[in-house]
Amino acid sequence: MTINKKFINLIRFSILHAYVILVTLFFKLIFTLYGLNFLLNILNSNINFIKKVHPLTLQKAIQNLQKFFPNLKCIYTAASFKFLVSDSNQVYTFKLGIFKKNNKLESHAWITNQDLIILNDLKNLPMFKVIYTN
Amino acid sequence: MDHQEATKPKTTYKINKNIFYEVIDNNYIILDIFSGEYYELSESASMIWKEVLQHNSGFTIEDITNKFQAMFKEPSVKEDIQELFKEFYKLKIIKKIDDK
Repeated sequence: MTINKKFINLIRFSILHAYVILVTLFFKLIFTLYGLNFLLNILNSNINFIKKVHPLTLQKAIQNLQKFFPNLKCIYTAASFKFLVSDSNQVYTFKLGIFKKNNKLESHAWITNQDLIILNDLKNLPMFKVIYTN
Repeated sequence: MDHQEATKPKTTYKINKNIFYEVIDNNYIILDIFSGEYYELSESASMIWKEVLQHNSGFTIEDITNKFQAMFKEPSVKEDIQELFKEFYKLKIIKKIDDK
């Protein structure tokens, strides 16, 4: 690969990750200011001018983001994925689930494609009961 | 709104559309997506919620109370159920059928 191509790929890589970071922070802001319902309404809305991203590329970008920001909440990344994933023949489902551990409720958000976990998989994810899907 | 007046026994109520629920360890967990809050119901409240779920088109507090009074024959059942529905109404888990 020539230096020019490497440079162009690096630029593309950076732009994609910056884009995903911005959208994820947007959802963090929305959730903090306006709550869960507003965030879910945005996921249900059909905003045409949003640049969609190929699912594999998006998955890798978000996973990279999670390496640098490990405290980023699952609901922001799951919402970003659902919002940005490009239309295809595949259906990506946003799921909210709950699990009771030591009398304490835990919640989690993840993305599936049919039965495959695409984003935010956990070792104990099968213990979570799905309470909301989109 | 005064909640004592709001939850009338013969008025028809239904579950609000922003409410989702699931059973964990035999108790219902309710999620209100408007507030983002989770509510864990006790065993007895879960029994009442299960009865509410049987009435998709609406229910009256009187019907629910009569059923559980017949089952348990405890004097406090009526008051406990009314308190529970008052709380449900206050938290906007249920609404009157003609509420917007």
